[in-house]
Amino acid sequence: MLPTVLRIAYRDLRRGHRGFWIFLSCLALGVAAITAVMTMSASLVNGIARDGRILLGGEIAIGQQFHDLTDEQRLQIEAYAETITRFVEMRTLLRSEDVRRSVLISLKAIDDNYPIYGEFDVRDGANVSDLIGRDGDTWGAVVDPVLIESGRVSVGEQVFFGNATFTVSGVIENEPDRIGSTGSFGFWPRVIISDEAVKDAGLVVEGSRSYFDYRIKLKETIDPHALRARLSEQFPHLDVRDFTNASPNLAEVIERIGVLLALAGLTTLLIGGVGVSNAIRAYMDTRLSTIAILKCVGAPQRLVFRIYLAQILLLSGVGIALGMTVGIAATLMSGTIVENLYSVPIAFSFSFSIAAIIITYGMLTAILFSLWPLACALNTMPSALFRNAVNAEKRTASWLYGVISALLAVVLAVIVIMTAYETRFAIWFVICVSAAWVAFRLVGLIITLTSKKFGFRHLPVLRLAVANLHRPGSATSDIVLAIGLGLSVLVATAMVSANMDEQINHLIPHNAPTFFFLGIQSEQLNEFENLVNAADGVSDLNILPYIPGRITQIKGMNPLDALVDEDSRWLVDDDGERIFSYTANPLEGSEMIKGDWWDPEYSGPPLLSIHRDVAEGFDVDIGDTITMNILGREISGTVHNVRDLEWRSMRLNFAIMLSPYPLNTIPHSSVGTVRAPPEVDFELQENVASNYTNITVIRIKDALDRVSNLMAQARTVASSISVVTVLAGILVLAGIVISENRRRAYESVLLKTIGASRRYVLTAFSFEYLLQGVITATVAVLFGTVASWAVVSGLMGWDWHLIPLPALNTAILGLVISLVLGMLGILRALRHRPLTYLRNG
Amino acid sequence: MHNLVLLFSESAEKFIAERSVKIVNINSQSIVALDDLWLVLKSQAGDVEILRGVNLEVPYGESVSISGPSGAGKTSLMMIIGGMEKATRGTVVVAGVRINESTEEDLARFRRQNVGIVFQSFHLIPTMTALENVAIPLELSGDRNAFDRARNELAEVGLLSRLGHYPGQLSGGEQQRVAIARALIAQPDLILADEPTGNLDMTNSERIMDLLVQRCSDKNATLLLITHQKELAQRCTQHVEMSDGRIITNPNR
Repeated sequence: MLPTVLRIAYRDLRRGHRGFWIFLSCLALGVAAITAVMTMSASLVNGIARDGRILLGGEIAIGQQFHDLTDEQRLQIEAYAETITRFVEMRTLLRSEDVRRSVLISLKAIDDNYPIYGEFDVRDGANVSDLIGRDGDTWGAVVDPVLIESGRVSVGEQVFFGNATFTVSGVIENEPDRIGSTGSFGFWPRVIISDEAVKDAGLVVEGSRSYFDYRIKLKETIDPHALRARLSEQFPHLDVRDFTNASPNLAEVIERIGVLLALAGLTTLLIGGVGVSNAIRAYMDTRLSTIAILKCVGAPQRLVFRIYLAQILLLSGVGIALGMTVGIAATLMSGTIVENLYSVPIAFSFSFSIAAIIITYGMLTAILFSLWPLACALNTMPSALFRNAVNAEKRTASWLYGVISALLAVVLAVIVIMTAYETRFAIWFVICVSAAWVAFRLVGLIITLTSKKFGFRHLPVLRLAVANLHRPGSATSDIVLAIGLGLSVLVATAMVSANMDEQINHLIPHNAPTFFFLGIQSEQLNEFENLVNAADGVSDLNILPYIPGRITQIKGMNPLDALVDEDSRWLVDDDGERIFSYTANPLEGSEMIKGDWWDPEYSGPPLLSIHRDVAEGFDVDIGDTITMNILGREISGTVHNVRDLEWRSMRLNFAIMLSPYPLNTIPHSSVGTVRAPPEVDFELQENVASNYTNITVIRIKDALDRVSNLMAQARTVASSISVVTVLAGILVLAGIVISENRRRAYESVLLKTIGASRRYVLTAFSFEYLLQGVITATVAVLFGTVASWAVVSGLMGWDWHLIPLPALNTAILGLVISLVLGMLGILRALRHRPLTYLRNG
Repeated sequence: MHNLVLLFSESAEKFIAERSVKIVNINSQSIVALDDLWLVLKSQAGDVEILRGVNLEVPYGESVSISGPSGAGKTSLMMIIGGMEKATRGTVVVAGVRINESTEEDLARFRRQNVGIVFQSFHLIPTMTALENVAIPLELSGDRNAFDRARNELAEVGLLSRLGHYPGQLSGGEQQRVAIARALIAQPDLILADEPTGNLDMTNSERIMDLLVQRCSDKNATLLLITHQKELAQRCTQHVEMSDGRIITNPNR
């Protein structure tokens, strides 16, 4: 037999649950948003872990840029391997007969062992070896479907890489290890050829920007993790990964996006919390008589509290279960779409810890927002039954419930911060939400108090509207909070999107070069310069040496020990090489902050010109030394000046520039930029590509188009999340409108009975919503703007721009939606027959 | 989690017993003894004296009707006797309990054990059946036979065929009979009835009044009845007339 509390709670709920759909919807929507975000993140991470060997293409990946492994290195690896596959990756220009269709691609040259794990599929199930083999003078090449769909190439067409001619022989359907590609090779459209073809084309020369990659399936007895650690230690300049960390960049991106989406989901849950609070208040209003009766027949207050707390917990359980089901279903349904769209593996994952976090969030939110209205209802005196005076107005609760609510809010905030991927951002989120919460509560209070001051004696319609804002039991405070939070999120999303657009526009400066040239060999320099300058209208050819190396010491210290600003960590991170350059003359586009440029004739010990990020990030000043390892040689330089530059100008520049000696004695390649008028740019591209097969030509516009596409996808994700958040806001508003319906209906009936027209009533109530809405929207624009600044500059690390139009448009749209909802509620109230209310009112 | 289970598994009786303070029991022949009872409510317009020095004693087993014009203080008096309102000053002893010195929790226990209330508007819990409404006071006391006893009680008021009906499915007269059954089921010493026939027609009023008086007599409960109807008042053994916060006719004084 159930305990008394549960028995009475169930009995009361059995026929009294009708008002709970708003409660359930608000809670379920918030929980569903969080569940979907968390399960999708976990499924992606799980997918990467599950398919680690396939994504990496082996159990161990080992490789480096510019040079193939030495024979000694190869022999050592072979000792551990059961199977090895080797491939070469590079960015190069795919040239077709029509130069206008030439495009920068990521070329991968594979051997016969490829792939060790997973399936390499081409359309129509053809055999890959046959497709990429030699047929007379031409080789076969299989291409990314993007290239076919964009009309750059077609199957059967002849294309050119380096000195060789290729026939597009197939379309790649599945390249199993694309995500695990080194660096940004996975970013560009893929073309796959055989390793013999790449040799034949003359694309691989010592020091060219090719990446030499090995994928290894180990002998059974060998532990991949231990081997990775050993190889990393033994060959510090090689990039060694194992299958448990197949794509570190992707994992980080997923975690970062996951945290942003989780916070958006949490905002949805919190907005839903306002709906929960309102729904509980509306429900408790219908239970005041029952509470009074229970007290009358001898139920102590604590027992009554437990009865209704049990109901709330039970319904919260249902709401959370519903939300989790919807969230999981959304993940399962969208999983395939995400998998296909972004080519990432998804292995559905819903762990106990995720469930625990979601249940904790859901329960804490439900209790936090239910406690106060519940405690208020408990104060109903049994004596009210004698007077038939049980009503919902002017009730308050003990301060103790206020303290408990505050504690619950703190617990919720702590959990949000502790479970967040990025603590700093989570703290800001909690601060922003708390500030918004307090602000909108204050706005509600100010509206209520201020409206008391205005009588509008000669404008009865306005007087009624204003009086409704402050009458006892007015929902002004809740409406302001719900609309305010919902609109803030909407405005923030609009501003972030607008800033993304701005960022894309900003990325393309008007004076940006037309081409980047990579891999210009020293012996090609003069000829290359002549060829480029010979084209009509080209200008600003700018060439700088391109020398890979590592920073080994700063001011005599390990660079990581010298680091004082985390933003500069990338310069000394262990994950790869940095690029250095030298010049005799001052760099164009640089602004000198400290010191001056060295004499153009200077040939003494190396002097350094450093960017301000290096100076500030490592507390380096003029006269300090920085040591670099360049092609195996330790070179120390003294800081001679500190300069600033605009990275986005896309002019050639480097964080550390050296005086010419001794780098000018080391073999190296160069990079260059040039500006070319549209009428000659394709011709120039073709000329460079056909004459210098080792030089990579990058059209800036192509690169920016790829970036724009990625950003557009990110914007779509942000927008879809904000839609869910706004849906929660609308739901809350709908709940408030519905819970107010009876009161509004009663008032409108009374007004009509004493002679007010339908139009008069409608106008008065609409004014009420309009007044609330306009004031709230104004504050929401302010908060949304601040939130967008935090996301854009704090999380994304971009410059934030104030773009008022999208914010205003969004606020107006939100205002219109809330007004329409309010009006619908009023029209519904006006439909009621006076008789019902006057008889029982 | 363990505490959560305890929270809801703890029986109401144990819950209440553990938290009750000892109720002062004074030796008296009267179930209700009021001495110089005042009720003053504060309002923006100034203090309002609802009851002004009321003295009243009601012996056990009697039935007393209270009448008077609106605003005389009848209902306030009844609320104080039922422990639902606190007097501003004066002594209130009901069934040996000093009401004014009791806490909220004590008063809840006091009502459950000593008082049954019948309202003009019935005030049944709309989400519970007739049987459940009647069983509630016993359930709160942890009585395992609550439903059997409630069934018997409803049979006594002639509603055996209506056990599973919700209040909304019952007529006014039937609802009031359920309310009477609920008021009497815990065998309280005192029944407070505030215009119990006020919402009923004449025929039903007669029946309900007969039933109320009969059941109180059967259970040896004292009845305190507020009514404006002289015919109903005459069924009681004593009559008290109130006006302007004072008792103006009291046979015991």
